[in-house]
Amino acid sequence: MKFAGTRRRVPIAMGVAVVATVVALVSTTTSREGVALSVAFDLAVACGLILSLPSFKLSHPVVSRAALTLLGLDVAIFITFFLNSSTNFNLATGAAMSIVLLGLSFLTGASGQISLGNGAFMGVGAFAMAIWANHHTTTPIVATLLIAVVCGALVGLLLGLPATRLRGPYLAGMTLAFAVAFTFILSTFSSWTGGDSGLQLPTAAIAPRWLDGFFHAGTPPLTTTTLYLTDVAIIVAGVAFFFMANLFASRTGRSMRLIRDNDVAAELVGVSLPRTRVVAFIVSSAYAALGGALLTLIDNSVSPPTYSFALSVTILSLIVIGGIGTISGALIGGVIYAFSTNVISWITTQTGLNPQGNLASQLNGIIFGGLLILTMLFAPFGITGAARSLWHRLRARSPG
Amino acid sequence: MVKTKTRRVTITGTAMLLCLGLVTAGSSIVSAGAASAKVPGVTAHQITIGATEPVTGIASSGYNQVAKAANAVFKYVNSHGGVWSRKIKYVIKDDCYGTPGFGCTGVPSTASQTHALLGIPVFATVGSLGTPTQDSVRALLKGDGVPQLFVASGSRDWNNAHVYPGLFGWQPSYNEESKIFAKYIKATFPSANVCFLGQSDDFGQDGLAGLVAGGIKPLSADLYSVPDLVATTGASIAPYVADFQSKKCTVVVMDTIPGATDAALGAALQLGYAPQWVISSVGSDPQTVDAPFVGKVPTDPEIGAITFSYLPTTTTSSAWIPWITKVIEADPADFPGFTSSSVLNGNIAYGAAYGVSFVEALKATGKNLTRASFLKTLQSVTFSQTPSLVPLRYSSSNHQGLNSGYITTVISASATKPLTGIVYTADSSTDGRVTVVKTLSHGIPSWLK
Repeated sequence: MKFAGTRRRVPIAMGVAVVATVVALVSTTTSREGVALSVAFDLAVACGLILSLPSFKLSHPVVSRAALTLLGLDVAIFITFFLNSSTNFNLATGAAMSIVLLGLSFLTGASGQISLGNGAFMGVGAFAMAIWANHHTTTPIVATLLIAVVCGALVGLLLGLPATRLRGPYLAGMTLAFAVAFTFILSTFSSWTGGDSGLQLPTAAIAPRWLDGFFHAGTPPLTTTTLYLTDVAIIVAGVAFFFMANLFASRTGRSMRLIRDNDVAAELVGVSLPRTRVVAFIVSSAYAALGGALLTLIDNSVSPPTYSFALSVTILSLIVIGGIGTISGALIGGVIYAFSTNVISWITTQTGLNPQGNLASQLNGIIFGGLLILTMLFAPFGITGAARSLWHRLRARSPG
Repeated sequence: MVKTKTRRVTITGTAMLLCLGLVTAGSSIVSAGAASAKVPGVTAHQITIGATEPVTGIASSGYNQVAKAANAVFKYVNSHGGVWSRKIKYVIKDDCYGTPGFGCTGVPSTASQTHALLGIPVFATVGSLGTPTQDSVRALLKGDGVPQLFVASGSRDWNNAHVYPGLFGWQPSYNEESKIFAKYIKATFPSANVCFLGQSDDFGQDGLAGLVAGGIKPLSADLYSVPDLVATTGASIAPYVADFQSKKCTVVVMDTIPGATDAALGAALQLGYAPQWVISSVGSDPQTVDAPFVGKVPTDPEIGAITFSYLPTTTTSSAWIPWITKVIEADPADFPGFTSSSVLNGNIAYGAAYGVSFVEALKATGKNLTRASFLKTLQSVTFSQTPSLVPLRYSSSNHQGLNSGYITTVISASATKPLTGIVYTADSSTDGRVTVVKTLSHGIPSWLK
């Protein structure tokens, strides 16, 4: 059956790719656009083909995940070409936040540790990015992002070492203290962090010239630059998700889940508790720092109030709503974060609420709080858990 | 078999959808290039402008009225036919002062809300509020060629015409204000021990520099952090006040936002400390500052404080006061309960004043409005009939805006009055020179009455 299915899929995929190539070349005005779009589409078809082979998934899980990442990136980048700048900017913000959420999801979901300080870790990356960029203007963006990640990991290590002796509420208390102290730390080192004004990147990111080939002359630079930043954020998020998916499935990931479920049993089978916990903490901090650094790149600036304790609480809420310990939960949380302002603004407009009234100005808390309560009551594993549960029920009912 | 069939259908369906998307892509990209050379945000009958403001959140108290007051002016002008037959549409986006999480609607940032404005699109941003918030979007607006007009902040960052040709400040800089304070303090309290409390950004730093340039060397100069102020609900200010008391400071100069002013006045009350307060115009509006003390202390602790104004106070006979009152009263949607007997606060007067400035600049530009023609007008015309005490004047090298005002004192929980009525001017150079202004504004233009 497998081989028969494969035999059918290959010609179908090839046919679709040929049709897509023809349509892309005919419907676009320059050959460059047509070639680029058809390549993008064909890549998606190829990835889809690989993923549709169950035997391949089993024999080559890493390649399969890479193909899935490529497919996701391909489709996401493809979609960004049709969105306006504002929506793309929100998507970029959501992509950056989803990386942070993924880090926390890993820490909490896989290793069972609770952190209330990921907003501050995010701030470490955001400020590291801005400070380095201001002192070393020629460093490429990718290198600056990596430096920010290293800074986040180092701070994670620093806090992670004592965290090996703490569990549950005590660990949460320690990370809470870091989150609360973070803005004070920033103001203490105001000569580095710019005080309340924060920092701006010395040069704004500008879209590479080849991207202009997709647009006609006269297109505002905002459109191309925002598209470029959005796609950079999506690609970075894709790479981060790919690594995390592999880490989840790796020996380290399994060790962490074992510690989460039964640390005594984990020790008995030879898992090093302190080492594994520190690794989880470092990974989580590094991911938070990467998300923060990306936000600095997207916003072209960083401001201390953004990284207050409230952000850490928001991050925790988002990951609970999206689904702790799942990759898709982080993605859902990122999207909720990015578009919540639009949704709340829409609600305020539609209901005619006074934006400064007590109700409207607290809508953020009301909606997030309400979602949290509903999640706890009806979907303890978040939106992802609820969706999975629904899917399993539907499959159980289907006759096949 | 069923599973295989399902997968096949899924693959084919997805492929068809993507094909459809591809065709749409081609047409969308083609149509994107068909955009005409029209001026963004401008039609024959309307001009759309925008602003990001702290409508909610930590800085919203008082400041949430600023843009609404400007909008009340635009509504009034629209009801009288608009400017060159164009109605002004003012889109206000809440950026929460870049501090999400404290009673904000959503999790907005100045960058995301500015992107939303640009997507409308807008002709320009007008009166967007805050130094760090507006600093953070300078490059974004410049990159898209959108003028960033009349930024509601006294930072000197807005006066950088060479790098940001479309960026314009409006109010006097904190530095200039402090130099005028310094002249007053030296003349009135020559032997006073002076201490300084400022915000840990351009507000406090430029203000302190102005004070020093003006010949005042504070015994103690402290800078507070806004996030710390919020995190401690004002308690972070108390140690500074206690320090001033221990150093026997008899004059305390404050470059503070209203929330920090309240915290300092409250801490001094508890400590039994009563220096002569000298408070920046940014953080001294009597109605805003008095609000937390109502019903808790018998007398507003701000009464007697020295402050500064570049607009006529409500206690003067300026024709602009009844005019702004009339305009605000005509906008019950945004100012419910405001009547002809209501007292204007500083935030409303501020918003109305920059609103008038924009309308006058539009009028002076003429019917053929483009961004270039508007900026050229702004840099070449002296606007002598705006609510500010002195004419508003820019040049190709000076985008700061106003640079003059008079010393006032708080006389009640809702009003200030000029001490002498003499208007002084200074500039943002390193010297502390302060001179008397002789040419004042003329009053309301007939077409605006």
